[in-house]
Formats: sequence, structure tokens, C-alpha cells
Amino acid sequence: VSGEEANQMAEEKIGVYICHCGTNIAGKVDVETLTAWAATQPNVAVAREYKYMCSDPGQELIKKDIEEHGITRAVVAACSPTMHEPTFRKAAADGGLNPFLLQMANIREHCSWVTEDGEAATEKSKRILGAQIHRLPLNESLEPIEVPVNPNVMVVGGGIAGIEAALKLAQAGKKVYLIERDPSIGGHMAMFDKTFPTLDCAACILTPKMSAAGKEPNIEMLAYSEVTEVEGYVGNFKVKVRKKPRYIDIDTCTGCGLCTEACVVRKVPSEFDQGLSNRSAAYIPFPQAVPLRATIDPEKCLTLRGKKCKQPCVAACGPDAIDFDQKEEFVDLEVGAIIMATGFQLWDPTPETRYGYGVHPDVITSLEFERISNASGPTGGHIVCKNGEPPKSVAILHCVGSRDDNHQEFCSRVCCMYSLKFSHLIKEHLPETEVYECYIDMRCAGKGYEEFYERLMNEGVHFIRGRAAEVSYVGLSEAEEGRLVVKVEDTLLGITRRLPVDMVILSSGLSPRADAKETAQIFGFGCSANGFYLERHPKLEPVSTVTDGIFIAGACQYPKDIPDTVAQAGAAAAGALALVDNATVKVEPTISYIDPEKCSGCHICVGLCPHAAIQYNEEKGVAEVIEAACKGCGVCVAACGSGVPQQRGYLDEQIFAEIEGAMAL
Amino acid sequence: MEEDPRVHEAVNGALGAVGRAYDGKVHVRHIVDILINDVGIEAIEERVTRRLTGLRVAPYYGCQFSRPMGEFDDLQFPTTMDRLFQAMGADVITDWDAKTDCCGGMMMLTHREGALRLCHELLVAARQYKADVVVAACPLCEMNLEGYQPQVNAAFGTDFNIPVMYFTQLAGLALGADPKQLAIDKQVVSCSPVLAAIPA
Repeated sequence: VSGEEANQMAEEKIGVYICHCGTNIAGKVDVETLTAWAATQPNVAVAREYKYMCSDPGQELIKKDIEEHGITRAVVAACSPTMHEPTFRKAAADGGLNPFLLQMANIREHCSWVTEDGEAATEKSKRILGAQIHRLPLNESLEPIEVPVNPNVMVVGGGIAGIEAALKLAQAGKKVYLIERDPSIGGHMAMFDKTFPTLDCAACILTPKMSAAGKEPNIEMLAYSEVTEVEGYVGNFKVKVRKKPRYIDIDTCTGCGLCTEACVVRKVPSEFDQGLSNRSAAYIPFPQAVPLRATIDPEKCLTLRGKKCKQPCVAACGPDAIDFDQKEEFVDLEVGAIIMATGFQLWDPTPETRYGYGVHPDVITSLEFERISNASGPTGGHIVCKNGEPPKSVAILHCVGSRDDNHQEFCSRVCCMYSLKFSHLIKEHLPETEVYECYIDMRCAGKGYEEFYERLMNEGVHFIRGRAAEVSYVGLSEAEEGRLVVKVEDTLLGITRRLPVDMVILSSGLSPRADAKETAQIFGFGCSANGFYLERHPKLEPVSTVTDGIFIAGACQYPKDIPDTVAQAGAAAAGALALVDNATVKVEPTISYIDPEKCSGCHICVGLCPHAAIQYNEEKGVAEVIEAACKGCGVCVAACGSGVPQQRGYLDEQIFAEIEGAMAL
Repeated sequence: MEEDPRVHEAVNGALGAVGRAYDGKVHVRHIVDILINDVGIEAIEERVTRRLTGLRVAPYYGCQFSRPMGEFDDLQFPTTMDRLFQAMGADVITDWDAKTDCCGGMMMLTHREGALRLCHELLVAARQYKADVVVAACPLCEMNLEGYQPQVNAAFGTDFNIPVMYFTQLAGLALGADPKQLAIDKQVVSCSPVLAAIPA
């Protein structure tokens, strides 16, 4: 620290504000001791404590001190800056101080919450606070950078969440790009028969929305496409989308389906029917598909696999839409906001070998049952076993893969309710059939859900409280012979039971999609420990991510039923709209700058910048930061051999001052 | 002992009292693991002199087989013995879900009623899957399933007479060992139907 700087530091008047956070902080840290200590620190003019600094009166303290005591810098010792830094910086600005002259000292997450001993916590809080007090005189006033906002929005995933969000934004007059990986939008909901607890038909409520999305002029649908690259920042994302070749010209195809009938490769397990029926190599996934266009499966089509084929599809196609030479295409899009609605996948019960999925054909997953009970499904809506006979008794096993230390620890939230729905459908189709539900707890929290459970108890379904131990094919009695036997402990009766049944439905949990982590990486946010997309705040920002301008909706965030998914989709659309409805957005000025006097033009930072925010100025022979593109990640700061790039707000001398402050005691 | 020095110390403290010590370096492995992963199925297959063609074999792993950590096979649905006997030409029952059910273990001495019930269930399963022979991966399983068949029959009114072997006995046959050398003539339930079923 030079003499001049030391002089300047002596003139600074620092205000210290210590939050109790109720008992969150004050329960561990002795805030009185901390406040008294802070008052003795260099440059500190006032040190105060308050029960809730984030409340209005708390913020008022800061403003008043700036106005009345001429406070020139402030530090709030409270929670994590990700929680309330914006709150306090705004309070400082309201009081007339540049917001970047206020620092947060995190004595909650980093101290009181994670320290058992109160005295140790108080000592640690001094170091955390001291670090900020020490660095504050070196803080500079910074001005936010204002950048224009692209008004378009991209929605990734065409299930009910994506469709809902896209429709809402389109209604608000925004241009929406709806990206779907599969040949049709619709997602999982399109596969369902009825929806709990009202039992309205899923197709009846979904297909109008699908077709509305297809017809909506503000929605540009890119089905059978995937996002491969995302660059840019809030308000200004540049996205590369890979359009997979359908080998069908989507503009000429009429969706008549003649090619699917003509195709000679007819035994491809249908993804939509969970492999319970076959489709052709040329196919339309289901009759209500949007867009209603055929797709040729390159892994099954004889021509595309280089085998001989008379190509009857080409002969059958009236409008001449088949194009075997189609190649994948890359489309560049520019959008201001992105909504992720990539959904879930059903937990594959194969590893749960004791239930015999994949060994006993009549042990099926919940999604398979959805298709079997669906009037447009592989059995025409007749609930039958693999031998074509209706089951005389059915067991529904709850919590398969869920609430299980060996698999997924969490509750998948929807399985209790869909299991009840299954019981109802079985009783409706086959009144004589016995239905057993083996459950741990019935979790029926939702509007009309408990009432639905009550209703099912009166429909003659047997509810057995106990997680099923095993499904066996070994019959010990005549009643069991040739049937599946579910072994389960009935914890209400205190006995073990053997239930001879003809069909076992595994109520599998919901899993994050297999590639959720890679997808999140492409978009620049993270996943929770359970693999679902991580929201910015679990309570107050459930549809935002850590990346400004990227929102999440539906089961990609956590297992969710349809009502919650639709509600979240609306919230995400509102979040995106609140952003793209503005002409400009302010981005953090804590970005990198390169002093042209010191830069040697070695290029190292140019290649390393993950956001392409550094360009090389040939004329001057130096690297330059493109301010609007820099995200302030600090890679260039760490990479430069001469230490030339510096990140505003995180200058070397500021960081060193923090370290000195933390070590000073 | 390898992972926790305190355990190592406690064990050697106790052993020290009698002038002994143990370095904790012995790795305990299952013989099936050695045969499959060290010797290898291909090497075994090459040495088969008497293929088990047509013999319906039920590999019975028991409840402790790949416990506790499942190092060399699935905990709940092991398949290593399946592969061994498939390589020897047998018609292996791969999908029977009783393969890891408990045989009763030491309960045969302390709680016979319960152990006989478990053995009964296993024998029902073996019959239902039309097994010619059950091969066990544990000598106690083998003894319970074979030696107590008369008691199971008495308790449940059944007529089981299903050959049961320790897996090395059947493997030995396929590798050309003399049945006497394998003590197959000393079984409680006669294995002559097994010997008759496979080509000499």
C-alpha cells in the first residue's frame, strides 16, 4: 500500500452492519462481541447490529448512516452474497453510495451454520468480517454496463412444461423457438391415459395445446432437434441447434402415413408405446403428433443402412417428400432468454432384481401400464397380461427406485397418485379383479388428492402398508402355481404375506434425464446432488438458474405432477418475459479489463476465454476485452503470465487485502 | 484392518497377549471368483472333457454369495456360476428368482422348523423350474438342501429326491475327474440320474 493510498484509506469511513438473522447467526455468533470488536477496526466509523438487516428498518440503518454520518463504505455481515448482496447494494445506492462500495461478509453459511462451538464461531466471524473491512478502502466505484436485450425466447423441451411456457410467451407477443429432441412434441403427458385426481383424459387436455403450439405464428418449432452450443449472456444468447435429418422434407410431407404402412421394416419397438408395440422404420410416433410429419429411423431403414430395399415408401409417398440424401443441419439462433423444460425419465427398474423386471414378462413399469390402459395404446385399452388374458389380480408396488438408499433417496412425488389412478382404472375396466397396493406411506398432498385416496379405499382396493420384498415365480400352493407371488410384510397386521397375482405394476420413480448434467453444462448452470437442474434459490427463485436469463420449468428441476409443472411453466414464462420485455438489461460491471500499456500481445488469454470475450487488436498488438460478452469468470486473470488482465471488483490488491484482513488477528 | 489403523492396533493388541500378530494382508475371496476371474471361463472351457449337454442345472448362490459389497457379482441376482456351467455345456436355469433365497443356514440346528420351511421353498422352486441338479456355492447350503430332504419330506408331506452338489463336484465331472474322487457316490440323495443324464 503506497503512501497516497494509505492517506486515502485514512479518510474512509466504514459502516459495519451485523445481522442476527433471528437466531440463525446470533444463536452461534456472539454478535455483541463481534460488533464491539468491529468498532475498534481501522477506518470503521460505525458498527451496528440488528435482528434482521434485510428488513426495511435494517436497510434504513445503512441509508441513514450514509446520509447522516457520511459513511463512504459499508460491509454487511449476514448471509451469503448470492442471497442478499443485491438487496444491500440497492440500499447503499438509495442512500447515495456507489453500490460497489458495499461488501458482504458471509457469517451465516460460512460460519454460524457450519460451526458447532459458539466461541469458535465468534472468532471465525471476526476473520470473515475483518477480511472485508480490510479490503473495503481499496474498492472502486463501478457503473453497471447496460446492454440491449434480444426480445426472442428459446424454450428447450416440448413436453407440457415447454408447450405451456411457449404458448404464454407467444400470447404476450414474443417470438419463441420451441426445441424438441423427439420427432413430436407432447412429452410424457402424451403417453398417459387419464390424469389424477380428476380423471380427465390426458390427450383431451394436452392435444389442443399441442396443436395450438403448432399453429401459433409466434412459435417456431424445431422438432427432432438438439441444442449443441450456447454462448453469450443475459439478453444476448447465441445458440446453435442441430436439426437431425428426418429424411423427409417437412414442408412437403402431409403426414398421411402411407410411407409408414409401405415400409418393409415393421418390427421396431415403438418408443411411444414403451416397446409394447412395433412401428416401422418410417414412422409417425403417434396419431396426434405435432408436427404431424413422418420420420425415417436411420438405424433401422434398410436404404440408410446401405442394404438393399425396393423403397416402397418412395412409391407410396404422393407428394414425393422422401429424401434419403438429407443431412443434419445447424441453425444459429439469437435469443434474450432461455427456458429449460427438458423433463425427466422413468427410473429403470432393471437393477432392482428382486422384483424381476425383465425376467417375468408380467412385471411391468408404470409407463407400460399407462400405454396398456390407454384406448389408443397397444392393447386398445384392454388391460391384459402378456398371454392376452385379463388379470384376476394385480399388485401395484410403490416407491420402486424412490426413497431408497440404494437407488434414489428422494420421493418422486407423483407415484402414490398415479398408482391410485391405476387402481381406479383396473377396477373400472375389470370390476372383479383384486388390486393390491403395497406402499410405505400414502403421499397424497395436493388439491383433491386425499379425497381421491378416500374414494379408492371405497372402491375395494386392498392397501397393504409395507414395501414389497420380492416378486417370485415360485408357487408354494395351488393358488400360487403359475402366477407371480408378491412377498410383502404387512406392517399394519404384523404378518408377512404372499400375494398371488397375474400382473405386477412397478411404480417407478422419476429420474433426471441421463444427459441432464451434460445439458446443464452446455447452458452454463448446474445440477443438484440428486441430478436434477439446480434452481437459484429453492424457495424464492425456483424457476431461475445461476445463469441470468436461463429459467427452468417442470420435472427437469424435480419430480412434479402436471398441475405443478404447468404452474412452474407459467412462472418461468413470466420470468423470461420480465427480462425480454425490456429494451436493455444491466449486467454486472465486475468484468475483466486489459491495460494496453502492459499487454504484450501473447494471445494466451484470447484462446482460453470460454466466452470468446477477448479479441486481438492487430493494429495495437494487444488483447482487448469485449465488455458485453465478458462474464467475469477470471480465467484470463489467472492465465496471463504477466498478470495484466484484472477483474474489476476482484483486483489482486483487493484479494490480497482480504487475505491480510483474514489473517490479521 | 487395512483401512482403519485403530482396528489394526486393537486386533494386534489382543493377539500380542498370546505372542501373535496379524498384518491384515490376507484377502478373502470366493472360489467361484477365482475360477471365473483368475482362471477364466475360456481356459476352463478348453479343459472340459465331459460336456454337461442336456443337464438342467440350477445354480444356487444362497444369500451370502456376493456379500457384503458385491465385488465380483450382482448382490441380488448373481450370474457367475450360470456362466461357468453354460461354458460346460449345461442347460442352465438363469431366471429362477429363488437363487439367492436363504437355505436356513445354522438355523437347521437351532430353529429347525424355520430352516426346513426355507429349504422346502427352495426345493419347490427347483422342481418348478425342472432342475435335474441344484449346484450350491456354499457347503452349508449344500448340506441343508441335500441332507435334510428326508426331513423336509416328512414335515411337508412331499417326495423330493432332487440331487444337490457342491459346485466343484459337478464342475469336476465336466473336467474329467472320477466321480469317486469327487465323493459323488457318498451323496445322501443319489446323483446317479445326473451321471446317467450326461454323456460319458
